[in-house]
Amino acid sequence: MKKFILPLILAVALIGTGVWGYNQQVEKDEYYTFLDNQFQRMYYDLMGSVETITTDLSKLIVSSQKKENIVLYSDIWQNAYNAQEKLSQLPIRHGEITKIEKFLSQLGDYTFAMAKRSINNEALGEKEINNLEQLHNYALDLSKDLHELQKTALKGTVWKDQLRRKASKKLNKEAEQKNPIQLKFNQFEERMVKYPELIYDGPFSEHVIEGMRPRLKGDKITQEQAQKKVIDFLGGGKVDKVEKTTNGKGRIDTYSFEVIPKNQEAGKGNPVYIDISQRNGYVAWLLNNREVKKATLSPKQGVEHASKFLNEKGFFNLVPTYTLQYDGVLLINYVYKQDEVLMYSDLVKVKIALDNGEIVGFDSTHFLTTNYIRSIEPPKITKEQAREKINLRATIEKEPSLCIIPTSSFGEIYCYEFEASYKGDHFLVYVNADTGEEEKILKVIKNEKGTLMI
Amino acid sequence: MNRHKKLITILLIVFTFCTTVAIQTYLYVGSAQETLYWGSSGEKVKTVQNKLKQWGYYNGPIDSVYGGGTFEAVKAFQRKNGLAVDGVVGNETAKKLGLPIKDTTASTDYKPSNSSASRDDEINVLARAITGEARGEPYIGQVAVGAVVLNRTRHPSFPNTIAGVIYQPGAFTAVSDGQINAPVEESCIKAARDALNGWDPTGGCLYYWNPATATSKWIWSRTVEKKIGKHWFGN
Repeated sequence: MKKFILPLILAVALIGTGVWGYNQQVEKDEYYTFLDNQFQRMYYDLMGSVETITTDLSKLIVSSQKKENIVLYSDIWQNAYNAQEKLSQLPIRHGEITKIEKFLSQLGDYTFAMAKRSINNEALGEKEINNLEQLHNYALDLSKDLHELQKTALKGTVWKDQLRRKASKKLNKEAEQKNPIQLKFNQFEERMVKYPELIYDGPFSEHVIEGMRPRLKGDKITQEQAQKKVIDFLGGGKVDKVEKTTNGKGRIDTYSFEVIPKNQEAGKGNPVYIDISQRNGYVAWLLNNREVKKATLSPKQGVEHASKFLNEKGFFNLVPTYTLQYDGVLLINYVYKQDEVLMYSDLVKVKIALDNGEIVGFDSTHFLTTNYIRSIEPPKITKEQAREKINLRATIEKEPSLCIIPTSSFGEIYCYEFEASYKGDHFLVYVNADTGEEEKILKVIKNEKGTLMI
Repeated sequence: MNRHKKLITILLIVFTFCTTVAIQTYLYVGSAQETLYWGSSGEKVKTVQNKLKQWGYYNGPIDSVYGGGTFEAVKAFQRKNGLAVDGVVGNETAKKLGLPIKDTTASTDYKPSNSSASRDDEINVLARAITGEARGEPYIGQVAVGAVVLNRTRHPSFPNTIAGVIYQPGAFTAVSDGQINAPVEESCIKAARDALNGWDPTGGCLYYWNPATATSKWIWSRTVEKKIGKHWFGN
């Protein structure tokens, strides 16, 4: 009898494991199926959207009606956005689809810009028709590829393999090449090499990425000079040690430093990070992540400290606009003022610690890339005329002021700024000071922490 | 004593009832569209004059007084819009003018959405991604990781939202292996805030990788712009 006990226990354990394993397997398959279905659905949505885009683009070329055009533009815009969103959720390596994503983003962005032009009754020129034709051809190719891929490869659990291959991290080259999904998208990416550079009025337009930097034309300073600027900016008495880190490149080329403040215990606390522009030696930004235990200054006193600091450092004509308070610090947005006109694009951000009024954050990168002396003409329409353009439902709170607001594509618009309210909600309404066009509406969110514009 | 209490209660109820009725009547009267005619004056007349001037029916002064000029302009407006031409701004004319008409049957009250909007969600998801990706990095490296996420939302080759970028399959290892759900570190919340408020130590970079552990061959084809802590940042 005794000798059966052990085998019996083992047999029970084996059966138990088997049942458990089987259940695991079933469960895992359910998850896979669930995921696969999600991915299949996204893929179908993606195909559908790209098809709609192709048809709409061809219709646009032959359409002559403004009304019809706007419907087509917004349809393309919505579908491009949808397609890009679906594509970015599929488990395909990002490197393989950057150009397709860019194509879809720009397509949506471009058609949105065109829709705005269409509302202003600007007809399509030779160049725009040419662009539309090219975009149409790319959309057609993409649509064909997606279909072919769907017919040949997307059967059963292809996405599961896709997921697994990623997880295993052993991307053996042969398997990679045999992978139809990756391969197909690769082919399309290669074809996209000749994709034209689109220039138009939208945030993803090519020229936007370049930007402009009138303040940063000048002589290159040396690293020693930059180091001196760091000590000047922070105040010599506060600095213990300045260490060099790798320089910053990009929008603004900088010398980067790490500063150990005095009175800091070794190995404790955070260094102050500061970047000096290589051209002309401006302080591009500064971050000091020190802890603020107790806020003793009021926001108003904080703004006073910050304004004094800016004046001392040679930043004049900066006006504080809105503030945000968190973690014992006060963030203040300053904008440049020229001839009583606020330049919202020329932004300087200052963070003040509310325990002793020290500057713990500074960012002038926007200011440095956009600020220049503008020639400001008197507005073509009066305040009263501008005021009439505003919806009668909104109540105007006070006299408007003149300002320049940035557009999403680094352009600038000369506007009247009105503070308006509607049943307890507050808004800023911008009316073009030359044409009377309503250009932008911002909603003002006020709470105990400060003000936010969205 | 008991009676007294009862009386007070009854009186209170009656009082409340009366005030409610009174307030409601007041509101009702106050909200109905008043008719404007020759001789009226006030803010509403000004509104009508403004509208008519905008549309080119009226070219007199905006003086809030319903005079002959306004009368003629209203008539012209009514003629053009197929209304009874009487020079009086009643309900129909007011509707055509696009003036706020109080609907006496059923009106939905507009609720101010001032307080509901905040960036807390954005800060939260970004802080979680930073915790997962850059735990133990110097503070500036954490801000930099947050900045890369935000730079991606503004770039055409990536999704347009913070969540879209973070949860893009395969984009971040901390998302793939679930580390993003670990408890958020204090410094990472600060870093997320600084990144959202515009600080970008990378100068606009779109990628970063840890040269010691990066497995993707493709990532090595990127140009390195900046090295912070263990991470290399590039485009």
